[in-house]
Amino acid sequence: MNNMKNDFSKIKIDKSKLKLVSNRIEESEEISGVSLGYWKDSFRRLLHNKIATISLILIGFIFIFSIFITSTTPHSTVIEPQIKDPDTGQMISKKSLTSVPPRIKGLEWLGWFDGRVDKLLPKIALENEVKYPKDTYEIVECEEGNTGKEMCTIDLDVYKQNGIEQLYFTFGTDQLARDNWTRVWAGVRNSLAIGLLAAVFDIVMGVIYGSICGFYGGTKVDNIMMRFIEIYGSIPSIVLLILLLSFMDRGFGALIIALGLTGWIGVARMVRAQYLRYREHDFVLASRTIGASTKRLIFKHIFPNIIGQIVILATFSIPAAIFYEASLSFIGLGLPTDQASLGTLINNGITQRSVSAYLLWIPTIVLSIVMLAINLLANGLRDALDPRLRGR
Amino acid sequence: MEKLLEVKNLNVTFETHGGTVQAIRDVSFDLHRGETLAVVGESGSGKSVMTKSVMRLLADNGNIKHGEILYHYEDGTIVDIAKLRDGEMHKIRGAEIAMVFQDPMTSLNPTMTIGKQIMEPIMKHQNLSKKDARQKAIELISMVKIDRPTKRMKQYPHEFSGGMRQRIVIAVALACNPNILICDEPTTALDVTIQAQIIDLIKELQQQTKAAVIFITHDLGVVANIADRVAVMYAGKICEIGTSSDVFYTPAHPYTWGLLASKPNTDNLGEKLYSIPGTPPNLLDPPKGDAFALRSNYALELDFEEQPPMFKISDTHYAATWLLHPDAPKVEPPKVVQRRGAKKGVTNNG
Amino acid sequence: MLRYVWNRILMIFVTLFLILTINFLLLYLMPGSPFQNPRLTPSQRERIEDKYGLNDPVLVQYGRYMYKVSKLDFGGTIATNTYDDIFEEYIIDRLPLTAKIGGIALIIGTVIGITFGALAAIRRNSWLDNSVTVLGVIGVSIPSFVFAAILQEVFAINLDWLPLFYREANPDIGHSLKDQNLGMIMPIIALSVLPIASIMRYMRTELVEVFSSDYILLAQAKGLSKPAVIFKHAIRNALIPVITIIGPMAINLIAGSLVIERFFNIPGLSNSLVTFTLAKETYATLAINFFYSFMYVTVILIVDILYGVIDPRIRLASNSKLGLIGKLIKSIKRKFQSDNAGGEVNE
Ligand SMILES: Nc1ncnc2c1ncn2[C@@H]1O[C@H](COP(=O)(O)OP(=O)(O)OP(=O)(O)O)[C@@H](O)[C@H]1O
Ligand SMILES: [Mg+2]
Repeated sequence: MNNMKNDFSKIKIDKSKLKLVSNRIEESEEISGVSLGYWKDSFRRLLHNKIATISLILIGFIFIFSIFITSTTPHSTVIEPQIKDPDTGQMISKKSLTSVPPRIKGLEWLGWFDGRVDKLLPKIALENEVKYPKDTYEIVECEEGNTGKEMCTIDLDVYKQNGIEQLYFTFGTDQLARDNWTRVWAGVRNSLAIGLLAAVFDIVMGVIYGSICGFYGGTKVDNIMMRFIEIYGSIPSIVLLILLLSFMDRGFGALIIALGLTGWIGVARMVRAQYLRYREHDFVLASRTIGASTKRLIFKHIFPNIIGQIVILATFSIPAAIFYEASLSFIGLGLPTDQASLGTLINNGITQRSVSAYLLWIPTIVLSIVMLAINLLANGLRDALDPRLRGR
Repeated sequence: MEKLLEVKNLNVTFETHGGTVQAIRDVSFDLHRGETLAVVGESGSGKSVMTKSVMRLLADNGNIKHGEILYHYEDGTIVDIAKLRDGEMHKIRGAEIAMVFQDPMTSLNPTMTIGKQIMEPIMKHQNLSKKDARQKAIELISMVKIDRPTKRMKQYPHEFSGGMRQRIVIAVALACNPNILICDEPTTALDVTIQAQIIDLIKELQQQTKAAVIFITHDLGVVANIADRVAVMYAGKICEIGTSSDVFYTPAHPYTWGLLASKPNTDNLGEKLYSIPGTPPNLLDPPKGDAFALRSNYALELDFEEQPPMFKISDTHYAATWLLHPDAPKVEPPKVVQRRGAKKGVTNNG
Repeated sequence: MLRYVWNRILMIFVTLFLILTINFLLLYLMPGSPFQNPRLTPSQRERIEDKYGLNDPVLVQYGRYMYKVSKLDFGGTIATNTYDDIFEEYIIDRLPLTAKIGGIALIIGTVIGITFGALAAIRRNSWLDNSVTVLGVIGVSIPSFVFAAILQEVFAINLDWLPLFYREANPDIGHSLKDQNLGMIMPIIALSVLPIASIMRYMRTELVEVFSSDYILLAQAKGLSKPAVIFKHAIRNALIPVITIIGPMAINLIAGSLVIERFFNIPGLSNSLVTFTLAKETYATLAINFFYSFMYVTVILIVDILYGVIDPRIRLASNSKLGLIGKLIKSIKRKFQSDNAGGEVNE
């Protein structure tokens, strides 16, 4: 400490200001800041998170776009496009619309959407000029194949070859000549719808079950119900899914019910845990002593407090449901193959991989984008609604 | 008295999303061998940050902006902790300066035996064999008055009660006979009877080891019981520092008056307890003048513009308020505080 | 510790027993009989129904089912003309393959996930930490079969380093053991992406949280060096919650293996499950489901044992002198308490 004497001459101050003033405590209250409402605050935090905001916009856009496309498209998801040739007025044959690669007007220079494919075939096949007119391809290279035949890679303009140069298929067509653009967007819409509905199902089941447990927390009812959850939860959910699906007719409804029946446990546990937590809280105890009715207690006090948690779990269960849908459809237990979903499209893409790689990669990329965006949104929501869990 | 620690113009900041928090603003104080310095102040006033700076245990976003923390070794060498290399710092922590934290339930590693946790600093600093370290640890456990020490060595924290865990933390802290023991609210998380036991234990061990103690607390009763000197902190500054009787009986800073008036004791029994209005200032953007001015009933106009310097009241007593300027208007402290002063006069005379 | 393990094993038997009961109930309550295969004539069906005693009282059927299962008799396939004993024909050689691929993926996931999660937490806000965060999100978001497709494209089709499909070692057609092992690389990588990503993220968060705990502060205040604090104090405590997600990871791996085995033509349990489910082979489906549960429960047992090894609170809690039943109740209670804590795991 400075052990010198106070040297008042050194302190240069305006001595006239050494006078008492009245208490200005109101200003102090003002400074300490207004507290924002929880939701407003959470929303502000969410918007602050750029990645989550972009994801939110992207997901919204993709969903609305998929609905828009599927309701305005002239093409069907199950049968080939019905297109008349403007010159002859005749229907274009299915054959010339089969496995046509993607082509977009004005983007041909990109090299991806130019309606051309690389094709490997024996050199003698090129002698068939009806099938391969000379002006529809360029030879990339020819070499001796391992069977001794000369094999050539050609860069083939399929549109020209099929005589449909006036047409543009944005995502191409599949082996059954169905418009891939329409099918991909229908797939996106279906997958998102399945995810959303399954999440709703999860939440309704989970909240009801969890509320009953939580409300009777610690009693016999709760104990039995929790033990049931424990056993139920020890069966891997995919196994349960398969069991359920093997007893139902394949389709949209079966899938949603099966996904809902397996996904609610997490919600139920969370709801129960929150009940038990809030039960001891002052505001609940207080309203109990005042004699608030049970219903009022749940809806006015406990519910608003757990809604944030529910939103978080719900956003996480959407990508989980989409993942299960895609996996199940991929192995043939989900939607029937003629119904478009990202899973069925990828499944089909695998079989067509060597001929039409775009049938595999387009739905794969779309699925990845959708999953990534929802997950990023869910992460952002969790950080915004429950800052304690940040980064988990 | 021999100086152990000199803190000069310490400034500590934290970088946060909202901006830079000025947690410690220009704090200076000394600590002498064998004394107990109590640090009091509202929550958020910077007590923990100040002591953590002395240990260099600030969170990753914390920085000692400037200032010196001079530690005096027994052989006379002086080091500036604020600028020490990490390796040197490891030699000071635990050996020269040790620390006891607020919550004994969380300050022991749940997956390590008590014995190992006590032996760790001993083996690190004292070059003892494992066997000797064990022996020392057993002694330490009995020193903090826990029975069956040998058996306790093999137990885990969850097998101990809160009070016992705090004794273990104290044993860990005293393992290498540190010269300075920092206790950051060591009794806040304990119930009242255990609190008294722990405080008695700390007092007793301090007398045995002659360590200087920095004792952070909210409880003015404890301060009166244990402290030789008291530092009052507000908004990252020490606003008043002096011996216990200076601060308790002749406080000079309006904030200290508020603190004393808000504490129940025999003087204000039955009266409505005073509570300081308003909330502490935001340290992201600390006020220009005296940080307490807004909440003070004795604020001068100058308080809002100019930071008051530390005025010397006596050789031991300093306070930062313009009220001590000779030209300032004379004000009466609150009744309760005056009555205390009167009481001291009585005891002194009688 | 032994008692603790014994306790866990007991719990597992209870669980498996219950799963079998559920299996039986499904068989019993399912509309119609399991022999709805349209390829069966009514007389054939009747003969089989009699053979399986489907017209006996429930409890008799239940007892018989349990008895048969205890002798590893899960019934047979029906659709094929030859009666194939499911356990003998399918499970006994397919289970090890599935378990091997899944197990390796889980181990790889755990080791890599823990290592990189820990490094990210130690070097917070470094480029490593940022990459861990980005890769973590990608890994948990994108399904394993997408990675499988990319791997195939790159390593099998473009680079031709690895076989596109799994091939069983078979000297007759020139497939060596090396071919077989090479064929397992891509499936294992594809499957391990999710566990790596999840465990990495979890480990990072937990370790960051541990770093901000009081006991780490105390360890630092003792004068320990940074490595000593990290390795002696932090890692072990961060591992405790991380271990809890290995269970859900196992479930995810089972789901993943269904697709991955199809993708790489692996003759594993998952592949046959799909085949049997599509063919409405109920007995086979249920039997395979039981073995899935068995694998899962085994993982849980290992996790629980690890738990006991790492966390003295759990190990010691079960060592008190309680009766067997008392301990059972206690361990159930513990599970409930962890439910109360609301530790939701993002599956
Ligand atoms: N890691 C950090 N990041 C940002 N701000 C911090 C950090 N640590 C402390 N602070 C801020 O520093 C100020 C002083 O905190 P400190 O913990 O020292 O208060 P305290 O006096 O010990 O309070 P209490 O009595 O509650 O323990 C507070 O305003 C706090 O918000
Ligand atoms: Mg503190």
